[in-house]
Amino acid sequence: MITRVGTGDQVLSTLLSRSSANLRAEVMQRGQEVATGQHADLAAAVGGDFSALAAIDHSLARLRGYAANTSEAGLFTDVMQSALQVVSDAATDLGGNVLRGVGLATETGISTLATEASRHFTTAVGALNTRFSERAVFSGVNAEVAPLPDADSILSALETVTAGLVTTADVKAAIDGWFTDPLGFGAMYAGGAGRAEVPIAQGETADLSVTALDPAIRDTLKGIASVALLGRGLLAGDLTARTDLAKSAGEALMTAGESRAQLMARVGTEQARISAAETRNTAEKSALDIARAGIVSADPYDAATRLQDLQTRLESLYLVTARLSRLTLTEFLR
Amino acid sequence: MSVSSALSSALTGLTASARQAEVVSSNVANASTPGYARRTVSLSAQVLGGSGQGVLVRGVQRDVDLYLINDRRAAQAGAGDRDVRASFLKQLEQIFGQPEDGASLSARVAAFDAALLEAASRPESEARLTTAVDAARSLANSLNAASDAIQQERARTDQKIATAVADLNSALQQVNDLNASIRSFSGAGQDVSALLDQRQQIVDRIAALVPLREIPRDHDQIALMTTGGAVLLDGKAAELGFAGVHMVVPEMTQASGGLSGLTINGRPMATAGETSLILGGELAGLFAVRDELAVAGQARLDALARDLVERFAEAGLDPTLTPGDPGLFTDAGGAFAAADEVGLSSRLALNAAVDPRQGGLASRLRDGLGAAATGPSGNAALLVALSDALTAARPLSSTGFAPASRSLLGLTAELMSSVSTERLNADVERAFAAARHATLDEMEKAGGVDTDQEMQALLVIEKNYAANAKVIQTVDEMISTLLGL
Repeated sequence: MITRVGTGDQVLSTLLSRSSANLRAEVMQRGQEVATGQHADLAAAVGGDFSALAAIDHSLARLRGYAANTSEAGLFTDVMQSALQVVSDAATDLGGNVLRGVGLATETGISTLATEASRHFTTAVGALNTRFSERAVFSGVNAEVAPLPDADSILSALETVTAGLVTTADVKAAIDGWFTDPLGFGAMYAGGAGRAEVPIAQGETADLSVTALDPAIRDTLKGIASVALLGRGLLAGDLTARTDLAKSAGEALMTAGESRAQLMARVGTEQARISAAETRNTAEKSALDIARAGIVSADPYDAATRLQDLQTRLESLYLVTARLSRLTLTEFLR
Repeated sequence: MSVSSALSSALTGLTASARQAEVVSSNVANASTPGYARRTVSLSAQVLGGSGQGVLVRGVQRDVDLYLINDRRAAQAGAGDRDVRASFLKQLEQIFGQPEDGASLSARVAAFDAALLEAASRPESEARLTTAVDAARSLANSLNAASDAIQQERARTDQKIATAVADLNSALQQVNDLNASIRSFSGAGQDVSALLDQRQQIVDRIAALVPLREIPRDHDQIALMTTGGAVLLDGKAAELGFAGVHMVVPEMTQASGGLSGLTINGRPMATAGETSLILGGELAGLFAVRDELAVAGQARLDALARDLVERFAEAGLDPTLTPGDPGLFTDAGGAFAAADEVGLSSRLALNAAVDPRQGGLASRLRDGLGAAATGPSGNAALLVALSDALTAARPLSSTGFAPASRSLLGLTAELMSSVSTERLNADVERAFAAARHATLDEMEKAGGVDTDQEMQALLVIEKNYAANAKVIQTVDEMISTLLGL
């Protein structure tokens, strides 16, 4: 049996080179963590389970989508609300004047009122045809076209329907009928069905479905148009019938006031919901950002401390390597 | 006893010292030669006529521990196997990406979902629709790219197997030739140490590929056998057969005959499972990558692709489609049939109807894939429905994952997680195997050349030489004295 007392030279060199390779690999990893502030091996940091991180990233991506949606839906409802305000103001203004009886007794008074109504009608139709970033807001899904033709065309159509009628009741019935007839006002409406609900937050949607066909809008237009038609020779010569028609139109406008308020409240509720969703989304985004940072971020203090430690160890190893490589018998056999 | 016998004894001492010095110089010169086994000169007292007559050089011994070498070779093979698997899984992890980077599968899914949401907010915007279509195309392309990358890895692995088998065959032949040379030289009484070193080096190369046991035979011959029991060399070298291919597609497997298996002397040899006799080395690792790991990765990717296709082809989602029509994502342009799941991820394509690059219209994403004319521009119903279809929890049709209802993103995250978990486990195994190999390697090297020891031996040899020379000088003086009487 041979008894060995020596240890092969290669053991030492292998040991030293392996140790230094390991240390340097670790230095690189820690250095990367200090530099980027993130785990060098993310999979190891999350234990190979990406479901939480992927879910957070997905939610963040969706929140970016929702952010665009809420800001657009917010602007959209703002524009809708101010248009409805214009229509409502016109109706209230005209209705008030009619019911106060201003100038109803004389033919000139009625003509003035009719002119005013015609102006209000144009304003209201213009407001309903409002476009916002190339979208007609009251057109429903047919956003590329304005919902209504110009005021004059509507009044001309009504003029045709009421031509030759001599009693207030007949005229009222004809106007009512035209506004409810799908081939009357319905045919004038160029828009489509109401818009689909737009997602604004997780599980939440905003309703932007108001169109120019809404009963509140239709009734308001009807009231204003009835008065405006008096300026186009409707019931010409019969002062009493003209006065009656104006009065009943004024009353109708006031009655429609309630449904107008309801419509505006409906849009207002959407505005409030959208803005609440926006706030919540922002809060959720910050919470998710923090949670995400907790997963992917490496503790910089920890990484820096380890780096310091590694530096010391690597320097010691270099020192040992230098000393040991000089420590051979050959060096001394001179 | 006579003075002249003292002279001849001293002479044998000089010769022995010279031989020892020669061996020491060879040891020092080969201090860092891999596979070099330290030599020692074995000496014995020369006996002539019943009494001692100097020293006899019996021969040069190679200082090797066959058991240790066998253990080290087994560890080396194991380390090679683990290394191949872990490297592949690392590659696969990079192919799928991590949620961190924007090109990963989960990031693509999230981007597509966000683009759909934004399009739903402004369905009349051509730009938003195009963005959503682009995001859908990127998602399909990233699945294609991942599938291609996996198949490329398989093709590369196939090439590596072919190279390994060729190496193995030529190494076995070399060992066989060396066996023959060693037999004739040692029969002629010559020193065969260098040939033995060379043979050990070649066997080491084989041992990295397949786990090996070296069995000593008479006259310095060796037989080689895998630890599983396949005889690679015993008087005659075995011939391994393998036919590499240049391109691999998902449908090609060893079972389907598209990819080659392994033969030994023309007989087929299992490359996996209990009946395989070559398990545990780099070669088996390569076969495992080509036939198991990569195939499993592809199957998961196909399951994801199938889920994606089926989500958007669901009846009633898009009213302009009739049942049986392909949905937003297609199997190479056509409808997907359940039997075609293998390789779906490589054929996945965006429906040409919505893709402007294939002559489609992005607005069909809003109006319906089968819409003949442009529909109302403000209609977001389908876009919202598509976004809902993406996020809805849906039972999985494929068998690649544990059955559960998942959203598309949940499934993507699971795909990525499963690969990362496997990679981490493989890393641990690799580290363990490498540490075992390093320890045994160190033990083997500890028995190697120690220059300090050799130098020390050289001092002793120098002293002995001087002493023998002194003996000769003294005997010479004695003879002179005799002659001068």
